[in-house]
Amino acid sequence: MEVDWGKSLVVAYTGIVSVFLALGILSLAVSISGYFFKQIEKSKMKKVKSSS
Amino acid sequence: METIAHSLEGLGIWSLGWKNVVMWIIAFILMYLAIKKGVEPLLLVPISFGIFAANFPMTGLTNPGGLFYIFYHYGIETELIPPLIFLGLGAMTDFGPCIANPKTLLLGAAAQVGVYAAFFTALILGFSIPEAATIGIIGGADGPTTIYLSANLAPHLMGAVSVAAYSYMALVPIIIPPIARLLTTKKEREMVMTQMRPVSKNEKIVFPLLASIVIILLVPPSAPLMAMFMLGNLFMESGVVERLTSVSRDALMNIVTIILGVGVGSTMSAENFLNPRTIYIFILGVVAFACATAGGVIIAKIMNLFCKNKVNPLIGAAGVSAVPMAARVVHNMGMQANPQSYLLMHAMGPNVAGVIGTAVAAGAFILSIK
Repeated sequence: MEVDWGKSLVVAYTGIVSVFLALGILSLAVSISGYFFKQIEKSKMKKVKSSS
Repeated sequence: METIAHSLEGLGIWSLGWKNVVMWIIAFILMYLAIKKGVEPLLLVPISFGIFAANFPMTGLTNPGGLFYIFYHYGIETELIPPLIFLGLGAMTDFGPCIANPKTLLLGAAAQVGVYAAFFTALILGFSIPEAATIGIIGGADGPTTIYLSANLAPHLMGAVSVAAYSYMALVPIIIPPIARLLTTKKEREMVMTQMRPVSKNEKIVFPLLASIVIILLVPPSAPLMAMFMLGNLFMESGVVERLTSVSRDALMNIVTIILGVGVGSTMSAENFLNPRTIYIFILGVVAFACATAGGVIIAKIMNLFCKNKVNPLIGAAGVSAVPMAARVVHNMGMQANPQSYLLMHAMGPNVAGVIGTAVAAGAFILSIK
C-alpha cells in the first residue's frame, strides 16, 4: 500500500504538539492554582495566629 | 429417515473448521494466562471467553441481532463503554502526586513518544494511517483508550490491538526495567527525591475542572474520555456523592467491563485474527511500549538539566499508563538501587498523567484523521 507520508507527518506532528501543549498548559495551570491555594492557606494561618 | 438426516446436517459440529479450533486454542491460552498467571484477569477472562464462544459455528451470536453483536454494536461501536470505564477510573484515581509536582504531567506527555514511534513503524510495515494510529495507541498502555480509538478508526483491528494492549500491560515488569536501566546511570537511579508537599482538598476538587477546561478546549475529540474521567474524579474528591463514587468504581465498572470484554472478544473471528498482520501488531506493541518507556526516561533527564528540583529519571518510565503497575515497577527499581529511595508516590504522577496523555493522543488522532 502506498503511504501518504505528507499526511502521516501532519498527523504525527499534530498529535505530538497537542499532547505536549495540553499537558504543558495543564502543568502550568496546576502550578499557578497551587500557588494561589498556598497564598490563601498562608493568609488563613496568619488570621488564625493574629486572632489567637 | 430423511428428516433425521436433515436434522443431523443442522448440527454445528459439521461446520467446525480448523480455524475455529485455532481460535479456541488462542482463547484457552489467554484464559490460562489470566486464571493461572494472573495476567489482567478482569479483562482477559471475558475477552478470552468471548473469543471462545464467538468461534462456535452457526450460533448467530455475532450476527446482527445476536447477543454479542448487541454488546459490540451498542456498547463499543457507539463508543459508550470506554468513557464509562473512564468514569470508574476517575473515581479511583488520586491526582495528588500530579498536583504536588505538576512537571510530572510532562513526563506523561513524553511517554506518548512510543505511540508515534509505533505509528511510523506500522506505516512502514504497510498499514494505512487509521490502522497505524490504532496500533500506535497500544504504546499508551491504556486498554479503554485503545478500544475507543479502534472503534473510531479501525474496528477490524479491535480484537488484536486490545489483546496486545492488555497483554503488554501485564508485561510492564518485564519491558520497563531493561530499558530504564539502559538509559540511566547507577547514580541517577539511586537519586532520592524530596518529599512531596501535601495537597489540599480544594486543590483536588479544582484539578478535574482545570484539566477538563485545558484538555477539552485544546483537543475536543478527547472529550468523551476526559469528561467522564474527570467527572469520576470529581465524584471522589468532592466527598459529597459517596454513592455515585462507589457505583462508578465498583458496580458500573464491573458491569461495563463484562460487556466490553465479551464484546471485544467476539470481534476476534478466525477471519479477522488469523493473518500475518496480527503478528505485526504484537511486534509493534513491543516497539510502542519500549519507545514509550525510553521517551519518559529521556525527557526526565532533559528536565533535570533545567530544573532546580531534580527528579529521579526512573519515574519517567512510569509515564506509560498501566496504572499502578508501571509506578510499582519503577518504585522497585529505585529501591533496588538505593533502599532509602521511595519512588512510589513520585512515580504515580507521570503514571496518571500518562492516562491523560494517551486520551489526548487518541483525541488528536481522531481530530486529524477522521
